[in-house]
Amino acid sequence: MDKSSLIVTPGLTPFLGYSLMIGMGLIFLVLANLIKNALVRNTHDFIIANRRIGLGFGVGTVISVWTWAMAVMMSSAMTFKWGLSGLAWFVVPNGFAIMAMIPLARVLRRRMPEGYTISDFAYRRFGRSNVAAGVVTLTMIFGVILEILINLKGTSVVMSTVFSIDWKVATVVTIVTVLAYSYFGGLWTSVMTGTINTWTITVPAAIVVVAVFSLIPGGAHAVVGKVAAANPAYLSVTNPDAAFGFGITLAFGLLASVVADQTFWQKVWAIRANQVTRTFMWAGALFYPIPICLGMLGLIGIAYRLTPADIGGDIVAVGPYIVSHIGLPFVLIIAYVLVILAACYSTIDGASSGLSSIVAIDIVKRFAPRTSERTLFYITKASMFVGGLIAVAIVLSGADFTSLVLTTYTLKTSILVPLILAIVWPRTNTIGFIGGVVLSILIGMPLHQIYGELVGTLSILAISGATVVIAAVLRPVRFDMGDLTAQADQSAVDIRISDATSV
Amino acid sequence: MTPAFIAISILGLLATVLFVAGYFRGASSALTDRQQSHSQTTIEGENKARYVVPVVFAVATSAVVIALVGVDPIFVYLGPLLAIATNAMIGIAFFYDRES
Repeated sequence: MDKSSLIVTPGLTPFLGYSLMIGMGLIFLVLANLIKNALVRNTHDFIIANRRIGLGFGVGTVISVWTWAMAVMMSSAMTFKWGLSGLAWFVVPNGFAIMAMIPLARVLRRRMPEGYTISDFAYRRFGRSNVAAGVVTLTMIFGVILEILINLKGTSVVMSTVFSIDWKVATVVTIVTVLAYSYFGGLWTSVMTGTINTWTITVPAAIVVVAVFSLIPGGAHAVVGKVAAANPAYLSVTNPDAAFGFGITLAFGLLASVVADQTFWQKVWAIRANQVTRTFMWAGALFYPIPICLGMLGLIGIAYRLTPADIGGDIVAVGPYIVSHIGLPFVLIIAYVLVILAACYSTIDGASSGLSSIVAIDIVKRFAPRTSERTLFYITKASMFVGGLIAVAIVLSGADFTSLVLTTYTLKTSILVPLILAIVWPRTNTIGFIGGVVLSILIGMPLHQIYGELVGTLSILAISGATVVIAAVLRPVRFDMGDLTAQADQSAVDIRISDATSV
Repeated sequence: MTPAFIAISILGLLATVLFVAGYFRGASSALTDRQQSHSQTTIEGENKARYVVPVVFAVATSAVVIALVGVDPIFVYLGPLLAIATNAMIGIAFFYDRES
């Protein structure tokens, strides 16, 4: 296995790359138009799908939204860098993070059956505190925008590696394509196109990975033999370097990424109440094979003794590089590109849909409750474009992909413990909640800068959790979770979006 | 074409058939549901599904599948095989969906 034998497959022109990006968007645009005409009549349908999403679409959409460029490309990258330990530390917390939503989702779906957003929960939970709700809303908006830009960056890495497309142009084309079809059907479009994307992420990915191994003389045995020769530790899942290098930080970050993300809370309230537990359980378990499958490409990178410099300097490009250079038939390279595009598109449209629910409920309906249904509907849609534009502007500034991901996770970690405690511990009070988030950022972020990811993350978790507990001891109050349901009934008039008015 | 490639392609095709069948069932159910439901959303029965044991099993299985690659190279193909199974299970989920 000589890396000089890896030569880019001819015919991968920029025109083909653009055709794939736009063509996939056009197909979804047609589907979105059908969905809009059949299922979307008002803002309620647009942001919460009338709470009628079933198990199949629920599982499909949760998997597609969670399968970022992260899962597709970083599974290969982490394997390439750390061996099987890297893959294990990347994969195991990933699926668990989805399933960790189950107990929290059960509580809130039972207590707030008519809920829309997690910020709205904070608003009701903390005595209609605009500060508490604002902290959560800001974190959610920030998270959604970072989610979009990370996936835009992922698409641009693949399109520039495989098709030699200018990554800046690829970024702009991607956001225009996704927002064009997301604009029409809101959450229903996101759910139905996302489920199709889950097919694209699973079947073609499996076929491509097996085809790559089939092309290598000696197949899997030869690859694993070369990996063992390079370093036997690559074939162990117990290498502590991977855990301390990124695994522990990533595990908490992934948990925060789900629990502190409106994209998933929106699903909690949009899925039929009797399918919520089952959906998140199935989605978490069925997600696992996707990064495991694609992670195998990282072993090939080790076997060929590739270096970051060989693949353009960024290790997330190891998967796209191998697929486009190992001599696969043209159609399989296109299939792999569609895997990446599907992952990116579904996450971006899911995040945009999440953003639309935040804007509708936590901004417009709270601060301008008399806004007409028609105006609300258009503001909700426009918010998706604004979020996309902000994300594009940041991506075009040229930030590093891996650093970006870890920074996102660290920031979201600050709200993780206070939010969980707010849901499950009645003694959590407003001061503890807000203080926990603010102090953990003020103290934890400098520690993160000075001592690195691991110390920074653990400090943020410890400070935020300890602040909530200390505040509960100093100012003992007990919140009756039953009040959430009562408040929902009381606020139904001013928060509920009319289901009777068609737009 | 190796036997592994042929096998995964056939299984992928079968899983796709299941997925497509499920998808159409789910889409038609959503349409029917929408036509029948013009009223405000009602509070439905809680989901009482047990989840702790399945979650622990799924987490442990994912770690074991990865570790097996280091035991025997043949397990490299287990990931792709399970990815196909994921797709098939989503198809099944549309049929497994129940109102209560």
